[in-house]
Amino acid sequence: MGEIVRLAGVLTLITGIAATALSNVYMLARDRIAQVESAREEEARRTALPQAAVFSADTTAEGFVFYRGWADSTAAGEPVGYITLALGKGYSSRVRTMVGVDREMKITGIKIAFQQETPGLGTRIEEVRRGDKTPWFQEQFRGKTREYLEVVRTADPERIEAITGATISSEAVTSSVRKAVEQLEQVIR
Amino acid sequence: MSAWKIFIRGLWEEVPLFRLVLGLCPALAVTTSLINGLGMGLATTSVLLGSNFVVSLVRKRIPAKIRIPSFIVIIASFVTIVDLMMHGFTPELHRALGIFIPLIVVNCLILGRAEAFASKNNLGRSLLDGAGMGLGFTLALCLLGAVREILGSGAIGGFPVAPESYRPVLLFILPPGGFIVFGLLLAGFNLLDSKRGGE
Amino acid sequence: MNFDSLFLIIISTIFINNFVLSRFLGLCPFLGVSRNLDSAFGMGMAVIFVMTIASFVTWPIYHLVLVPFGITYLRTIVFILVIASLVQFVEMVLNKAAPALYQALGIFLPLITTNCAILGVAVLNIDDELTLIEALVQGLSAGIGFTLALVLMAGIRQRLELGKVPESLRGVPIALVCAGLMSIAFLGFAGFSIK
Repeated sequence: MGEIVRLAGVLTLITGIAATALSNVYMLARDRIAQVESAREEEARRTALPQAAVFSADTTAEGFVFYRGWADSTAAGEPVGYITLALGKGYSSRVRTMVGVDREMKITGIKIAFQQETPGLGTRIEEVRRGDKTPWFQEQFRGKTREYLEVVRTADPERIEAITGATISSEAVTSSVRKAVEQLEQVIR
Repeated sequence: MSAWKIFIRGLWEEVPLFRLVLGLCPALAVTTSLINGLGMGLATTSVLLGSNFVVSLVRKRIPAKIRIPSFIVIIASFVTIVDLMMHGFTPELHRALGIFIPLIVVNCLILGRAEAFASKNNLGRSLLDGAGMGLGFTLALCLLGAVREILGSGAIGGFPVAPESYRPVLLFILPPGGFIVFGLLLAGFNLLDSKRGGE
Repeated sequence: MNFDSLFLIIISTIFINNFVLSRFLGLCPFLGVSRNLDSAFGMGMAVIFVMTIASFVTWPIYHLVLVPFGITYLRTIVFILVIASLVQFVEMVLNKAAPALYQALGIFLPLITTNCAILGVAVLNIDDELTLIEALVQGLSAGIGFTLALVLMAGIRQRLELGKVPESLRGVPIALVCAGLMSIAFLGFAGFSIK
């Protein structure tokens, strides 16, 4: 019995030392990580609503978080557009997409903020073709309103063309964006 | 065994992955490209070096009965450190490797070296062992990653190298490709071994 | 309780995104124990048990302890210690309750600790932002998917032992190629469109 207590004690000591060391490393890394994450978010917001220079966050009574964007830094008058984060269940991860709409509820841009889909298939939602500057799959969303956010297999400029072999990933992004626009519509009206 | 021999052992004779068939899970999952393979290899090597260092340092103080759980705690700590550092300083790679960074803790290679070598050798030799094994593992991952990336996306390190007419066989960067390429490479190594043995 | 989402998790984890053949988790025991159908089945059962309990224990620890105290970075250490203890516990129970199986599994039982699939499912339960019930279901399904792949592989390998395999491919290499072919077959499930 005494043996077990001694062994447990040594293990607890080792774990304690490890935990202390880790919390120190965490203190050092924490700020840097926060910086990285907020830079990512900022970039996503700018891609979703390029016309805006400043953003301000807001939350509805139901807990829905969204941003208003203004073209000039005084943030006066009507916002040029709105942004929110869409969540969708992808093939092997939860896909997070930043969605921006203008006052007419037309999409100004989307940016995939997080995905861990199958490399070579689902990850093509972020693929940039040779010669292009932005991911072609996400570019399709620009200018469309909610009714046209439908996944189709063939190339159709009015709708969203799916990625061959990655229908689940394509659908995840599209339906979550559609739902996000719907939620924004309810808030604005 | 000389210091040089300890180091070189991990690079060919007992190279992890192809000779020491350990650490398979991350190997197949992240080698969809050369860069990812390299990144995982370096991350694992960092953990291996840290773990061998500490295990060798405290080897005389740890009661034999709880040495495995103790090693696990030490390894898990270094994995967490590497995870935090990568999140802060190499965010893109951190995201690409995803769940496999915390899974480094169950990479049998690291626990294996701690048990087989670091717990029985002094600091210098343990570090050499860690460096050799880590480097060997990294090279093996790079090989796997390069083959899969060239065949599967016609590129290497992100740079297109295949002629325009080559239509990449997507299968190679999908899960089946991982299994098949690794199996064939392993067979290749066996073949090489038996040929050399025959001379 | 949302039965739709639970059903989706079950189908998705066992078939569409099988832990071994799609996610590459649990490969060491997959190659190590799949020589023989009986031990494959026994290992599978042990893994299902450990995975389900692990999901049940790690979820509350993360959400009720680590998160409120802001120490989520201790996740890896805490989870692996919990899993290691669980495996010890399973070993003791099996030794008393089913000694034959305990003997048959031999060294592979303690090795369940280093089975990346166990830690993998615990981490995935958190990353996928699942509820406790969903996490339990995912843990159970992941174990079943692992067992499925393992048993299928064992069936194939038992036959392979009798066949004419070139020297350099014998053993692990040919098993890997087989796994690759099985993985292709399972890729077919990805075509499932579940609305």
